[in-house]
Amino acid sequence: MVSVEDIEKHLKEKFSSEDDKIKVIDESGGCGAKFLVAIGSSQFDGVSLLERHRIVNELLKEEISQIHAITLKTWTLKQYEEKINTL
Amino acid sequence: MANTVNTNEEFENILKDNKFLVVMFWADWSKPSTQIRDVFDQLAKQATSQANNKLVFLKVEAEKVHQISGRYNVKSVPTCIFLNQGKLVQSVVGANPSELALQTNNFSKTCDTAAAVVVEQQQSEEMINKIKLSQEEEKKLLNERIEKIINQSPVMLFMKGNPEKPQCGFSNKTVTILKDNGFEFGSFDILQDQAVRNGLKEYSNWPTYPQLYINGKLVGGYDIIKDLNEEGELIDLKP
Repeated sequence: MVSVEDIEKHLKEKFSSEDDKIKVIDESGGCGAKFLVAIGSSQFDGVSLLERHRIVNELLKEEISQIHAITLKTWTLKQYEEKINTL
Repeated sequence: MANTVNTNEEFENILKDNKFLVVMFWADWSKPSTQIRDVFDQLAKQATSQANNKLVFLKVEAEKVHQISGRYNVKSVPTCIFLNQGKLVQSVVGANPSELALQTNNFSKTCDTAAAVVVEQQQSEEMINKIKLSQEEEKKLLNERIEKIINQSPVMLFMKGNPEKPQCGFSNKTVTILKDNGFEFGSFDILQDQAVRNGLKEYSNWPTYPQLYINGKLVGGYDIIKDLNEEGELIDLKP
């Protein structure tokens, strides 16, 4: 079963800067089936939404193949500050 | 020849009376799996024609009898599994006739018989090449088919179910957003076509559904469509 910790650990490998923000929520009530993943990073600056998602999809390939659904929020640091409280 | 198993009940009954099973999983939409299934039949014939054979060879259409595929975690076809009293002891995933023969022989040794099935090296290599070619051709044909479908309509939604009856929350919400924005769009139900369902993931380099294509280009999945909509940018994409 995929856990919040599994995903966070994996994300930190790529989004390892001190400024990078990561938030992972298990929306399936602990069942490891549905996740919300929000990332705030300067690595997304100037990168299209599609490309941002592709980067995360590639990184979380293993996990995505095991879970039922995932919602991705791929934000620049500024966007993260603005939107993280809307989750 | 190997026997076909059509239901989970049949499988359970066979399991009750037989200790050593070799089970081949195939699907009609995968030509390599049907080719390996034919090799499997040959191996089964060889093994079962021997005097003290204890192995039972079975063929299962992976999606038709999904309880069995699910039970042994079969994720792709062709896959061949070796069961000792219902327990998985070995498996051969993918199209590899000589590996299949090797594992069959190993398995029979552990059951105190000597199946000694043989797939000649050359025959095996020829078969692997043949399968590789047909896999490449199949992929080419599939990609051509996918491209045709993508271009069926300027706005094309690959979803689970159809707009009148979506079969997934994300697909449902995507349809709603498109309709709210006055989009005219075509749709394709990927639940009805395994080949496209798997092939499009590779074609798009995108692992999930729904997938929205506009003028032949991938826009993205529900998250992206929702974001674009909230930013007021989705409507700009209308052809």
